[in-house]
Amino acid sequence: MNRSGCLWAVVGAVVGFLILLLALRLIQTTTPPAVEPPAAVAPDVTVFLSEQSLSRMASDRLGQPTVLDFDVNGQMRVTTRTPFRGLEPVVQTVMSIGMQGSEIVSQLHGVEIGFLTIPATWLPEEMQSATTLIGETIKTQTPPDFTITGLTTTPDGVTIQLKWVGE
Amino acid sequence: MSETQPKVTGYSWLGCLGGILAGLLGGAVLLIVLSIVNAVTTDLPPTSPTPPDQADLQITVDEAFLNRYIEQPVDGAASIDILPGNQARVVADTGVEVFGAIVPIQVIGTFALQPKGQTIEIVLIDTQISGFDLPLDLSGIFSEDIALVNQELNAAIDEMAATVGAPVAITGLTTSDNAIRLEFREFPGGVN
Repeated sequence: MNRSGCLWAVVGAVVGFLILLLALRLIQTTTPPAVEPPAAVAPDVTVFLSEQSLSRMASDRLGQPTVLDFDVNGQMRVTTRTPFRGLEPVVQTVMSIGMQGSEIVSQLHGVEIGFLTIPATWLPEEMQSATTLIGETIKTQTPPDFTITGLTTTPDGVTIQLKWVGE
Repeated sequence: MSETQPKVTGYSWLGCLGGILAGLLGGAVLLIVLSIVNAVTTDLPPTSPTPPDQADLQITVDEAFLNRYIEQPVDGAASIDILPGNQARVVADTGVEVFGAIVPIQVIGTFALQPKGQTIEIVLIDTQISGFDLPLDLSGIFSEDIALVNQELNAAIDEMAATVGAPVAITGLTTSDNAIRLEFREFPGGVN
């Protein structure tokens, strides 16, 4: 390759790297779909759980330090160390939780490892279905005489609205 | 001249395409390696303790729910009216037998709700009766019910602590016109 070819190869490499960064940037700025707001039903009992409590409960359950970070509109991040080929990188799971009809749904949006964001669609099916465990856990912790009618999140924690269905 | 020019352009295109490919692949590998290194060396974000003015757990119970939830007496009706200032009024319509006849009366008990360490204590502060003129000693009329409610509250709070997975202490109790709000804080090391 002559001098001109080498020069263009360097230019191409820079352009290629920039295309890669732009592609990663586009992946990161993809807005997660909003969770459908629940129907307004006057609750019988309203329970608020702080972010700190939920983080401690998650750490106890997983047996390792786990940090839950909530935001408005059901957005949440679960940060924990995940064993991977002898390493334990910090992995952030970005997801949303909310109500769809009378069901709690949790949806995985992506996983962040260092500077990389891996969209949910690129992740294996098992990992996507694993996030539904959160909704199921909340449901199983709810007393049988109550049904969940609302779930909202704030940066402070989660508020769950319950309706008594007992007799 | 005419032969050299296409050759140079060809090298340029080849170099450029090869460079783009190398940039994409090399950049991807570099970013993956850097990301993993960053993820391995990064510490977990610190879990800040709950601010002193904030509760770990809040439970708000609606008055209408309490009225549906309470067991109605066989020979009458009872209702709960939550009052501001950590008080509640229980109105029970019942009947007393006077000289063989059943006289309808209404017993009104006013209670104070007091946080007490890890539980709530319900204390009778006043009893009134309407529809009956004779003076009656009503001090013991709710004793059995109060003991039962206090016992059930203790059990409910113990159950909640078991669900949360840490001992909890009541740090706030407020009532409005139609709801009771309880605030708890966790004490993972145990409540002193």
